Amino acid sequence: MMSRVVRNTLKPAGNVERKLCSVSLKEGETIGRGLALALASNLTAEAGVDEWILKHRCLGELDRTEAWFR
Amino acid sequence: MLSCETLDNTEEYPANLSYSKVKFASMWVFKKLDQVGRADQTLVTVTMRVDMGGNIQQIAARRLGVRQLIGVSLMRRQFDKSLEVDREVRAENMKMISDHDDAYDRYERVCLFEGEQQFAVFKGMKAKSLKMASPQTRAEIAFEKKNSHAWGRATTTVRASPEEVMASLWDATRRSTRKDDDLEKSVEERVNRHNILVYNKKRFPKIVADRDFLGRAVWRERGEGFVLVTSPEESDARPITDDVGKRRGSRRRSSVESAVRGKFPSAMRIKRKNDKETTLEYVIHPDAGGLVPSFIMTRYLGSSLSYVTEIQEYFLALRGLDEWDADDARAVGEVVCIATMEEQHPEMGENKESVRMRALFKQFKGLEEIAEKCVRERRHHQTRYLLLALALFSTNQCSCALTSTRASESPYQNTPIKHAAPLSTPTYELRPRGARSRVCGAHLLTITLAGTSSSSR
Repeated sequence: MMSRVVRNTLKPAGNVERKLCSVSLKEGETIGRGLALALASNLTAEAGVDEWILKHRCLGELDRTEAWFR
Repeated sequence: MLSCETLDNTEEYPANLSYSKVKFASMWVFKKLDQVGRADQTLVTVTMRVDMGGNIQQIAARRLGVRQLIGVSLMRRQFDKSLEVDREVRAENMKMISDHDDAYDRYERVCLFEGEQQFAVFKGMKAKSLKMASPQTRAEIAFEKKNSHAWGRATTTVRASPEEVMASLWDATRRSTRKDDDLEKSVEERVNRHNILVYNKKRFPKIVADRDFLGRAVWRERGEGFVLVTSPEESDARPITDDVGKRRGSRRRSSVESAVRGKFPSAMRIKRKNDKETTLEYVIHPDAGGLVPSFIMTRYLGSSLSYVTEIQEYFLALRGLDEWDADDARAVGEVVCIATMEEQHPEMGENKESVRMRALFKQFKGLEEIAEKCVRERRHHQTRYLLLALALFSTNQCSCALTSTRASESPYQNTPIKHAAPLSTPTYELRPRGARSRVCGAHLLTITLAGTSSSSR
């Protein structure tokens, strides 16, 4: 996921509705790929990140449990 | 000591036209060295002789031999304890700094005074800001009148206490700052607990001779922080021999062959910002010596100023996940966006970003802990389903093998799942997908029964 986030290329990305503990490597890549699109389609970076987190259930889990995530 | 040699056993292995016999002899000598802190040290010496036989040219055989010797380097990397060694020395230095109440002589006071004057150089001068790789570091350069050598200044915020930073910087030969271009780095003289003489020889590009630097480092406590000053020095231990320099067309050369003596005066102010953070201000005025034009040195000033970024990243990497807050995560996020050296050598099928992530997850303690936590939670999740399945079989006296097929697409594919048997004594192990399967939640559990059971599902 992190490597896709860093790559930051605009590509369509699907939804991943899995829990954090059951996300696979491939699904992680899909989630990471979605950030670039979310950032491009919002006026501010904060709104883009919000959209990205709300879109994927596992990121919401991470946001709630880890103080450092956002 | 370990010795290996090929036997000339022609009876058991007779000569054959389909292959050539290689003669090989090697000797490995392991010698125990003194401990560094609590870390053990061993000196490994390898002597090797290989005769490839056949028609392989000697030059090719030599190259193969060098490749074999790289194994020692790999061994060193495997048992690397650089972090532990640095931590031990840092702890010792922190104790020394807290106990320090030594007096400063006149020469040391002059060094400190001149060093601290360097911070005022930028006042009233037109400075040009430099674009640094790290957004957390601000750097600028400025020129004095009638001096072609530039002054450079960089500031950054480190997530550590001033004492920690000072203790780390006082370990001049620390492993964390070793670079490929460092040919030699040593402490020539330890005058007292706040005054040392440091020698450093650097490799320069092939068209330019190597450079060496000799500087006296002095530190002192100032308010809620410290000042560390390095000023160029001359010493009999590392003399400058002018005759060698004249022969090679350079003005001054050191005693070391093909190394020109340069100057690297610097001053660093380490100031407490808050409970968690420390501000670093670093001023340098380098002169490579010899015939290197000053504009080339100015061009590479940014890389010298990135030293503060290295310090910042080093302390960030030491912080564990339990110490992380939003600022740490932001700092790590910025580090993640900076290209690393490892990206230049990706493995087959890997892209640059993956290599960077792999390197950073290995380097940063916090990221490593996140990865471990994810693996642990994933295992716990898998174990829940495995235990559920085991509960179904606990009444049967049978042995079974369980596999999560989701593991086949995860990076933890071959991770054995170990847990205690819940009720009775079924034995289970990881195996490839078997004949009978059962969908259980998000995971497909494959259960292979080795015993007899009428209610196997």
